[in-house]
Amino acid sequence: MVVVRDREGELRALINVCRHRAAVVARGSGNAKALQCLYHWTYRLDGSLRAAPRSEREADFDPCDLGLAAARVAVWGPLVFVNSDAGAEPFEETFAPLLDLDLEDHEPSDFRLHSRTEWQIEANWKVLSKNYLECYHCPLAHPGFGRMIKVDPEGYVNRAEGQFFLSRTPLKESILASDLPPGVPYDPCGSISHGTFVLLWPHTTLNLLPGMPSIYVLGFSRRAPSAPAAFGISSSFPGLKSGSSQR
Amino acid sequence: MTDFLHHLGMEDKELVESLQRGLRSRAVPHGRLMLDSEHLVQRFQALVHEAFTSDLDEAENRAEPSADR
Repeated sequence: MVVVRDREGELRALINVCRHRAAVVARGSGNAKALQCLYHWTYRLDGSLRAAPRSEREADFDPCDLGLAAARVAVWGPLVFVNSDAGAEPFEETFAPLLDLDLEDHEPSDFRLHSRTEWQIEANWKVLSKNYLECYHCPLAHPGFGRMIKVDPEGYVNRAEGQFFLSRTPLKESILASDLPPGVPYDPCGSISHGTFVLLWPHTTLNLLPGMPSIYVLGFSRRAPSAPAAFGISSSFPGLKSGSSQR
Repeated sequence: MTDFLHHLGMEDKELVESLQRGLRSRAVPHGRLMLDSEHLVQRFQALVHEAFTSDLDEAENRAEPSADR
C-alpha cells in the first residue's frame, strides 16, 4: 500500500503493486509528482496510469483499465488508517467510540508525529494485545505505573464496544495533592489527568499518559507468517497546545 | 515520559515473552481468566475465534464449487 496526498490535498491509499508485472511501485517516503515503477510504468497520484512505454504498439491497450487500485482511507488526527477491503464497514462506524474519545482539552488534530521506534518481541500479536487489555498485572509488573495512576479494580475502567476497547484510569489523588512522592517515574501533572489506553482490533493501540499531552501509538505486527516474533512500531505524537496547569 | 514508556515496554516484553514460551510448551491446555479484571481479554479471544472460524467458513465455501468439478 502507498499513501499519497496530491496537490489539491486529497489523501489516497493505493495498492502499491504495478498492474504490468506486479513489481512494487513506490518505495520509501517523500515528495513525488508521479509514482514510477522501477521496471517501466508511471502512475499519477490518483492512481491512474500516466505512461506505459510502447503501449502504442499494443492492440487493445486501454490505460483506463490499468490504474493502481484505491484502498479505503480514514483519518483520525495525525493517523491514517487504510483498508484494502472495499466491502468493509466504514472506519468511522467500526470505531465510532474513538471519535468520542475524551482527550480532555485537546483535539486529535493537535498532535503531530514526533518520533518512531521499532521493538522486536518474541511473542505473537495475540499475546501482546491480550497483555495490553488488562491491568491485573500492573501492581506487580509495573510498580512505577501503580505509584502514579490507579491500577486497582475500583479506579480502572475497562470497556469494549464491538472492535473498540478502552481502558481508562485517573491519576492518584495523592499525586495531585502534594509534591511528587518518591518512585513516581516522571511528573504526571499537566493537561492530561488520566491514563487512556485504546485498542483498535486487532492490534493497534493509542495511549495517553497523564501529564503533557502526547499520544503514543503502538501497533503489533507479525514479521513472518510462521514466526511468533512480533514487532511493535511505536510512534509518539505530542500535542501542539501545552496545558495551562502544567508544572 | 518517553523514558518511562520505554521502561513500561521493557517490563511488558519480559511478561509476554515468558507467556509465549509457556504457551509453546502446551503444558496448560486451558487457562483460568480472572473475568472481573480480564473481561477484555475474554472479549478479544472471542473476536480472534470469530475471525479465524469465519475465514474457515469462507475457505470451505470456496472449496465447494471445485469439489463438483
